[in-house]
Amino acid sequence: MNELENERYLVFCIDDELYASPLLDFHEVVEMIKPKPVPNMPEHFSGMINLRGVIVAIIDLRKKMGIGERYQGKQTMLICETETGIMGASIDRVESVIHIHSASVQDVKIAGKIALEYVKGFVNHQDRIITIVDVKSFLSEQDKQFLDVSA
Amino acid sequence: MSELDLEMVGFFLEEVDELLIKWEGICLCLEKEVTTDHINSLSRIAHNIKGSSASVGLMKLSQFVHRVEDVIVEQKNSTQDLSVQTLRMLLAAHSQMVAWVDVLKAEPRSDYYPQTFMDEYFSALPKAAAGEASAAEAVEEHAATPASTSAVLESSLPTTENRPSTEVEAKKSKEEILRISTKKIDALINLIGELSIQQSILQNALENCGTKLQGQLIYSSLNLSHKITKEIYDTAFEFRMTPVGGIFQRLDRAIKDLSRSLGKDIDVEVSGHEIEIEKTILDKMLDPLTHIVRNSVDHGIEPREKRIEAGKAERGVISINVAKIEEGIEITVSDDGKGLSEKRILEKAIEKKLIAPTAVIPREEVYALIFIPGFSTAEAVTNVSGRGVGMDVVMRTIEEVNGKISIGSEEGKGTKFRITIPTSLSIVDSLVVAVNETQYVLPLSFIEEVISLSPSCSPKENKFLMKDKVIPYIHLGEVFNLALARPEHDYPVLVTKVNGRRLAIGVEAILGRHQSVVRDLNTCFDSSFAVSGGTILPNGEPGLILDISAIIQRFFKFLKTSGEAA
Repeated sequence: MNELENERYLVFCIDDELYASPLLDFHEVVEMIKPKPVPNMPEHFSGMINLRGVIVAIIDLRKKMGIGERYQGKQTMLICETETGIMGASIDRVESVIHIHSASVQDVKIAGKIALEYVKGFVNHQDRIITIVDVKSFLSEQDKQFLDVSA
Repeated sequence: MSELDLEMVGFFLEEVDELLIKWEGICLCLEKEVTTDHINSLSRIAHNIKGSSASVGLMKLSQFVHRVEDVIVEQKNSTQDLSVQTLRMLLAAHSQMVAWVDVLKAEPRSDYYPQTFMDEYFSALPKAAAGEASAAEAVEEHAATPASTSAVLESSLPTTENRPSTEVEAKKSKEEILRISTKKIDALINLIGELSIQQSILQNALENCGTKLQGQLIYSSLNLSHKITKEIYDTAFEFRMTPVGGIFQRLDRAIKDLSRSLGKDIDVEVSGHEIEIEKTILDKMLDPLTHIVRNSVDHGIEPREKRIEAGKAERGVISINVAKIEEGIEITVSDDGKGLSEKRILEKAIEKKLIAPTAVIPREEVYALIFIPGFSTAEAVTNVSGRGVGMDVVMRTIEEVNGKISIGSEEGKGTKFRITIPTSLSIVDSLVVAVNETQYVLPLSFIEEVISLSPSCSPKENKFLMKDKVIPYIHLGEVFNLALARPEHDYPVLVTKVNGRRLAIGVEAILGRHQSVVRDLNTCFDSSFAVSGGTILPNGEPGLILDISAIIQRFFKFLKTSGEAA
């Protein structure tokens, strides 16, 4: 796990679960704007927004991970550039930015709500488990999956 | 000595494009008239390519050009006229280099070498050449080739480890690079300066506000800022524009190459070089136009004997004219050849089962038959006009850029292709419609008319009558699988037409006309089949530009499959 070294991570949560992704993967964090619906798209795809003239596709991470029940508070969007273009992921809230030592990442294979290939390991941070996830690839993966279905 | 610097190679490949275009242009001039000026500039260009390719580490290309340059220099010093053989070599060398550059653009470390070309032209040439010294030099050069090949190979070996980074760079170099005249940039800078002056006037006026005079000042300054902003926008847009003259030369070459091999004498007339159009559209037009002019050379213009027989001038004429029109530009390609035979087109269409033998088809529509996939005249199978594209591909490519094509022809007199294309793909004149509280954008160029249907005569089974014609119908909500409330009031229906096929599309409301600026969409939207792009709507929200052609195709495909199932 050399590539992880001592990087800064953005920690965010969905329900009470903590997740972290490399900070530099994200362009920005913006307040939730209600996305405009796009027809004929998979359900976890909540639509698109106008982010200063750029059309950004928004994915509902809760739906994507199969977590039901909408979050009651105001959600937040993580904007990042994926293989297919600029995308946003709606999450419940951003927790913090922390440093994680690659040595402290435990590579345990636990099948959870995110496919194993996107889970880079787990960290114990102040007695809480943080799942390290490659959000960038996770986001662009789903449309491939969808394309396969439609083909 | 020659570490391949990918960034430098990228710059070189951009620069060499222009040099190669000049090379071709000079060769075409030399064909008409041999002047020392032309030979000199050709030699300069060859020298330039040789030097810069070597400096970025493309040794093989450099050596290749060196060999060709030798021939040019020899010609320069020779008292003899330029031979047809040499001129043909120079043109062939150009084609080789264009192909080579394409290969290098995809893979800068490519091992490409046009061996067959070298064998064909250079195994014989040195012997024929008069100067012994240059022949010896050429041989020496040849011997040096294998050594430097391995040098290039070696230099590429150690870098295999950091492959990912080079791939990223390769991706970067694919970004399109435009050449922009300093005049345009200066105009933009000027405008931005003006805008900042207005801004400081506004700032000033706000600080001393309260008087009526200041109010007026603010008002007029805002007004001016508005105008300037629009001008900035227009000027920046022009950056993407390029004169159409750029492809004339390539068409000229295509005509000359083919007419030479067919033994026909053809003059090419062009007009409208200076008219500007978005570069991406122009690039896309090259293939269809090449196909059309090759068709004219091959099928249009008759052999000399036939022309004399018909009382025509010995030399055929193909003219390419570009003119500005309201919708964009119009390109006409006309020849004074034998024209299209309505009778033969009809026979062919019946033979290929494209139309019923009893069908009565108006004259203009007869010509349009050649655009139907599956229609190709017998001669088109030869490798001359062949190239794997038919007129259907020509039409499709033109429609991809929201253009139209039509044919006029008179038997015995000639054929005229008229193509109209928009000057820009970045702005689409469109209608904004609403379905289920969501707004969609439809390009106006595909909308034939807008009618209104009352709920009482709502279309049954996807069709209705309009002026005694049966028009297939679908509601936009159905296209998107949306739950729809039954309409209570009259609702608008857009009659669209693509590729000769009509489809009426019902919507809930038309909100207005809009000059939509096309924005890139995340490719994940591709799975929503009916979308061709995105735009920002007048209300600031993102909107989807609908792909009418895809909707129509899907509609008829669906009808077909559901019909078969029934």
